[in-house]
Amino acid sequence: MYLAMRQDRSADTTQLLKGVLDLAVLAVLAESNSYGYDVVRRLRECGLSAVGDASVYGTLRRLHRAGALASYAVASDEGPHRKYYRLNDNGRALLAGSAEAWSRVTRALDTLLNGRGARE
Amino acid sequence: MSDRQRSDDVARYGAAVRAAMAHASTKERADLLDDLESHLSEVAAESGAPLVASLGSPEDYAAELHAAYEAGAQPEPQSRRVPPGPSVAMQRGARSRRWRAASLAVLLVAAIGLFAGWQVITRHAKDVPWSYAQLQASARAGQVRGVVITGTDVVATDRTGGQHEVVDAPRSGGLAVALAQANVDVTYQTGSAMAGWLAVVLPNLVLLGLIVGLGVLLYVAVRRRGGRLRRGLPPS
Repeated sequence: MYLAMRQDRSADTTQLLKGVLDLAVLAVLAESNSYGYDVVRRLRECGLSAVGDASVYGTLRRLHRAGALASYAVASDEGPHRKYYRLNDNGRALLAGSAEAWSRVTRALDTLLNGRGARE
Repeated sequence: MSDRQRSDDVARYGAAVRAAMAHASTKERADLLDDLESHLSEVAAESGAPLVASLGSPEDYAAELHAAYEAGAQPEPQSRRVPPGPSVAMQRGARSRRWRAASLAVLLVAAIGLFAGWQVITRHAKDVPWSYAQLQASARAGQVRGVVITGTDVVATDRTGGQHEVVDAPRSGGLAVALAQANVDVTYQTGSAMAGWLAVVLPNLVLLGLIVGLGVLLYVAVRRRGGRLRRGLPPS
């Protein structure tokens, strides 16, 4: 299943995702705290099938390093402790700012694309 | 895939990812690889397929990991640091302005002092010095307009305006009396022997001040030029 998804990955989507993965990860964590693998799963469930595990994981670590996320360990029955991530105040502020920027951009793009569609 | 096979696969894949990340910094490796195996186990458990099938090659995985970690847009939410450029430059500018003002002030003082000193010197520019006998002779001949006594300094002015320092005038009140009797206008100037001394020292001080002021200006100019070059700016 994952193999099919990975072959699914188009260059266009990958490029677009690079810009918004931060925002997507922050949004997922805003819903509820999560650990690496779970974040990937939830992103894919929402339709971002082209997102790679390593990209999500690296993004989580980068956001953590930048001080937008806090992490804590949760004991797991099956194996080693899982590292959970949650948004802190910085993260929430970053999410708000990024979300606003995102909606500005999408509104602009929608206008451009709709206009183009109408002309054609 | 059995549990045993799966854990072997995870271990192999994990080792390969770590090997591919050997070039990265210690900090980055610690940050990214800390719970690598835990994550890989979950992927392996979920898919049931070999990790290479789910995640791609370990080398690709490592590269993607590194790329996402180093991705350009570093979030700097609330703790926005004011870029050091403008305020530091303003401080530097203020300081160098103060320096320039200070050295200009020194130069101005030096110029005034030099002018004053020059006046002092020229006022005492003398013609041929007289002996006391010559003074007496000239006075009797009515050739002496006036005599200025400053401390032990005696300067006689003749009818043509020439000034003559009287080199061996007696240091006594008798001099003034003798001169008065010859109808010579005698003026006492307050001042001590110091005044004469000062007339010599002052121009030298002024010259020194000029040199110092120029030196300060040069220093500031060089520093400023060096600073601009260091900042990659044209030397103005």
